[in-house]
Amino acid sequence: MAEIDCITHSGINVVDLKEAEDFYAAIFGALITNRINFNTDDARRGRSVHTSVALNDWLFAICLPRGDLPMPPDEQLKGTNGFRHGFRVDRTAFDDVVNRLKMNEVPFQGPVAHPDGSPLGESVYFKDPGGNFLEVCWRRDTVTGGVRLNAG
Amino acid sequence: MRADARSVSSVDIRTPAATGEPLGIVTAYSGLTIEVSDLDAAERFYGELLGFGPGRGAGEVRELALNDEQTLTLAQRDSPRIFPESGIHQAYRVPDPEEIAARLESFGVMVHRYHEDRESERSENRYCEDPSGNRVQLIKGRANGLDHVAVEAHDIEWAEVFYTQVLGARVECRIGWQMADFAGAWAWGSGDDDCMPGTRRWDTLYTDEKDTVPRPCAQLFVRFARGVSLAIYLPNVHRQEPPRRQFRGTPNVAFRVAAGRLDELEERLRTIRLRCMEAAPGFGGPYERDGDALYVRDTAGNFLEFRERR
Repeated sequence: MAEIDCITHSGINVVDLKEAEDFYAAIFGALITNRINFNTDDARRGRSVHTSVALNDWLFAICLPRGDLPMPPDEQLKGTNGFRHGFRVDRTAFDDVVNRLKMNEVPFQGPVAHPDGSPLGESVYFKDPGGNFLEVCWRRDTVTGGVRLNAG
Repeated sequence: MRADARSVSSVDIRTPAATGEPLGIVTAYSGLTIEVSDLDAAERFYGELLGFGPGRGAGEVRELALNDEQTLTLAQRDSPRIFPESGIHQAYRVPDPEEIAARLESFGVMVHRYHEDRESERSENRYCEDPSGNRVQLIKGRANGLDHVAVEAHDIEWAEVFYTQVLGARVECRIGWQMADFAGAWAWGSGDDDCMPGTRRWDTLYTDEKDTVPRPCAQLFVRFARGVSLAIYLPNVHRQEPPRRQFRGTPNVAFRVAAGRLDELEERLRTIRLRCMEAAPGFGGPYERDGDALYVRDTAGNFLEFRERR
């Protein structure tokens, strides 16, 4: 068994770095930590083109691909375009996320109520501007310290 | 003058972007100083071929009027600061650019039609070099004048913060932030896209494969006011900058400041801090004031000058 401690970071392809930065900041309150390849020294080292974004303890890079980026249909709000990221928020923050989606005119599906007894309470499904599927949910079970899940 | 510590704020790339209209502190270009290797040849080029002038001044400096409000100053140097391989250029508005282009070609000056990245310049892609190698762009306008100036900045993020948060400009467009910019660079890489020098580059990736890929050089256009934009290019090399505490020099871009707002601009330079910038001794910000002029050095060592209307 691999002795993995945790996910250190992810990389997500987008079509427009600035648009994606603004999206994650507006919807999630993400922190833009740094951008790579917008100074000459980075360029000369041949580094990838990306912005590092911190969302609580998750660091992810929004990247520009070399070629085309497959985009799901506009009307599809739930699914996987390679993958889907799901984020947990507490019950009160869930409504705030929904309001932020409305304020920023981001199309979303939900809130969808999960069956009684399910560890998840409700979810909303939407996409970032790069066509990456996202989900925000609140959980019925107790999560302590952000790492130990007890689905009961 | 020292700023009250309580009134000082710091800005960086995490500062929420300045949005909306420009602050309107800078209202126009008032002039440009470029360095040349042969003053007489440069004066003939800008005077006789482009139609500016007449030239005034003696010694190593010559000033040509572009119109009643703007001047072009030519400064002779043994080793002029000119980088033909870069995106640095000066764009002039002229009533009949095609006529001038034909005149230039008849005198043996090559006129290029580069692929323009900025949407609004797609049809204004006439470029040539003056006798010293300064790149000149010709843009159709009602009368002679400066349309825009392009400088380079080795860190385009800091440049954006400075020009927007401190000087009150707003980002007009970006090149190099989108997937399409990178996909498009492959056309240049294969020789199918005649782009202006300094706008694309070959990167050797730092990964083990050491792939070499064509990429766009980031470009940022900031707008101070309607029709007053500055282009900022990310260069392929980090050139030697002027000494950190030098705030006046050439090349130089001069701007007109709205009546009664020079003190406001000075206050912003003193109280809105970027940690990459050094304050001039005695002034508390990256500038020196001399009467009705502010001499500013931007984040990349480009010299700027600000005055209210003379």
